[in-house]
Amino acid sequence: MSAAMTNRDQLATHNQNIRLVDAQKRFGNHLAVKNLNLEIIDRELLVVLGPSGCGKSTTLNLLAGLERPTNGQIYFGNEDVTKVPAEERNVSVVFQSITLYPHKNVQENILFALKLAKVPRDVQEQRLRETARLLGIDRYLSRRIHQLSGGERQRVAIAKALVKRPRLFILDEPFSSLDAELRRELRGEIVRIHRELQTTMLFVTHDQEEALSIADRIALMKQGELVQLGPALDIYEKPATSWVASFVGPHRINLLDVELGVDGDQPYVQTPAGRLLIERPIFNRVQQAASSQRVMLGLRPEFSGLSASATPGHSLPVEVYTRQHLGNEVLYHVKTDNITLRAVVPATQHFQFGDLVNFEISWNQALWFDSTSGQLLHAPSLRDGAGEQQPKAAAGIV
Amino acid sequence: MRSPARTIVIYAGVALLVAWTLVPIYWLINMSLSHQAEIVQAHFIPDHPTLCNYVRIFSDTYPCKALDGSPYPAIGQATAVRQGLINSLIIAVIVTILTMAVSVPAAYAIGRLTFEGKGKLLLTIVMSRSYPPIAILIPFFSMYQKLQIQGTILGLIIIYLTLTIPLVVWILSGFFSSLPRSLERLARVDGCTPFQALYRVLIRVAMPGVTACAVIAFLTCWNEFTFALMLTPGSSAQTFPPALAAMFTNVSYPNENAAAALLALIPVMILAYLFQSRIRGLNLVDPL
Ligand SMILES: Nc1ncnc2c1ncn2[C@@H]1O[C@H](COP(=O)(O)OP(=O)(O)OP(=O)(O)O)[C@@H](O)[C@H]1O
Ligand SMILES: [Mg+2]
Repeated sequence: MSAAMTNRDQLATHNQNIRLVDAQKRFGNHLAVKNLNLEIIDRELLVVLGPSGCGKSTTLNLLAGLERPTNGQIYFGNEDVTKVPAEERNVSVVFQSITLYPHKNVQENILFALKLAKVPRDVQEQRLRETARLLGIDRYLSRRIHQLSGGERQRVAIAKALVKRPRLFILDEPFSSLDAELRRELRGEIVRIHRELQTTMLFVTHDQEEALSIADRIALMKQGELVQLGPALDIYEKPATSWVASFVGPHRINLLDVELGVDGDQPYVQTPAGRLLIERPIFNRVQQAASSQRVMLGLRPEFSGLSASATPGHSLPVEVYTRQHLGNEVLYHVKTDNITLRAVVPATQHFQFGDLVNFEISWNQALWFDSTSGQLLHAPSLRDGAGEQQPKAAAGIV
Repeated sequence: MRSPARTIVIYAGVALLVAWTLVPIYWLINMSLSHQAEIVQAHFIPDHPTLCNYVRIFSDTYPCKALDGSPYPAIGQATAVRQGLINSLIIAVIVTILTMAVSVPAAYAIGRLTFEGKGKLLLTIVMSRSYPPIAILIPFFSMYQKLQIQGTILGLIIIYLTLTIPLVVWILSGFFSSLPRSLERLARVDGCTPFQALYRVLIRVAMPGVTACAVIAFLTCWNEFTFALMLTPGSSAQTFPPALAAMFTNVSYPNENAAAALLALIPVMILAYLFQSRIRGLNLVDPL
């Protein structure tokens, strides 16, 4: 909990930031959000990422004022807005499902909030023109909502959210119902709009790829709790727990229960599929951090390889099981008697089902976790010059 | 691509359905435009079309000639029919307005809010429509006698409200609850207070359903026969359906009955015409 305290101490200096302080939301017996401490830095694009049902929408409802927290406070800058109703918070939301009024046309939809706020007509028109140009929807302004495609609707919804110059702009899985192509395009738009408008943005998604592609920072949630908060790449490189490692990444990470040991002078790792030799420096770091000899080894498929020839002590003998083409790469599932592993290899390398091959490990990219708590023990630095950091501090675990 | 044979089958089916619905009406029109003397031989189109049957409902004296040149005979029940049309219209309009005023907020509360005993409340409302209306006629009759409101417009309005409100609350609450939850939330972040969210957004979106329900309430009153027959005959509050029934039994010429029946269809047709586009919007499961 000390991380949360430092979080709170910083707040005084950045008084435009938006904060959830010990925020809790209970529905009957169910704790949808558990003592959440989260600070959204002024003008950043923060992505809230987490699996379905982890409390993302509930969190944004707390921020928008659509739900009252059962405990804790919410601050916009220095102002405590915990009890301020939604209509007075100046927050815009693009919702998960319906985001427009079906009985109004595009222009009426976009201007509804300004009309309610009695913004002068000429200002309304100017904002409408600017926003429509920003989103490229000038041509649709007089259309009815049901005459728009899904992508156009989302553009209108974003325009509608932006036109009132919100203090905080929240998007709740706005693109989940769109096709992959359109999703990529609109993600790009979001990043561009964020750069142009410099609004504080909260983007909610359960898609880790989407999160990695747009975020300044990612707040990762699980079962109502903040698991990790930090720059997008940090979460990939230094996942706070084995759960984070398996949730974030292009392919699901291989997690092996292994045992550390030393044979004579040679340190080794005993896996269920055989013994692997390991270099002394890495071994020492892991052993220092670990509370027992049993640890969890995380091997990302994108850093693992397959080869026909064995390198004794540095690869595991496996059998090719399934194959999935990913364009210029192929994802293989390989197995031994008791485990299944995944590896991504260039499409130029070709293996058949049932081939006996060798699963190659790249120790410089291996992640190490505590076998009981799942906490990160050691992660190498993947980027040049970043140096090896204490993972917990870097990841800002709460 | 549809094959021609299939298209033909579909059109034939549609034609049959249309005929099924419209032939009786066509026959009614045919009769209402024929002279009384012509009624014995059936013609598909009147040989000597005349509006006299309609005229006689509104006036006994307006110059109108029968086929033999004599003045067109007066209709015995014309006054009752005329009065019935006016009473029906007054009652239907008042009941519709009161029904909607009560039902829209009630349906909103049941359809969109959560509160203790909501399910039981809705069940009670629906149950009140589950028995045949005639079953409550006796208690109403004796109560009305005590209160001296049998044979009054007020009495009918009260009893019709017991028919329309449960029905409309039931339909509308289902309609409200089918609208997306995020609709009010969107309205709230746009700056609406909870009350504004209801009347500036939710009711507007629910308009097709609200309109359809108003039409249903209107037609329920307009067509209601049983209560009207038991409570109003002989009084100044008699509505159109019992007046028409009395005409059947008292007057020998079907042409006049046909004309009167068609007059009763006119408000229905106007309603259908005015609201067809709005009610068509009712297939609005996903409003977008
Ligand atoms: N109004 C409510 N009443 C009761 N439980 C609720 C309510 N709203 C949400 N919950 C519960 O709270 C938990 C978190 O819900 P929430 O909608 O915040 O999840 P989410 O992270 O947005 O999921 P998704 O990615 O599927 O949208 C869920 O288990 C959900 O069932
Ligand atoms: Mg959600």
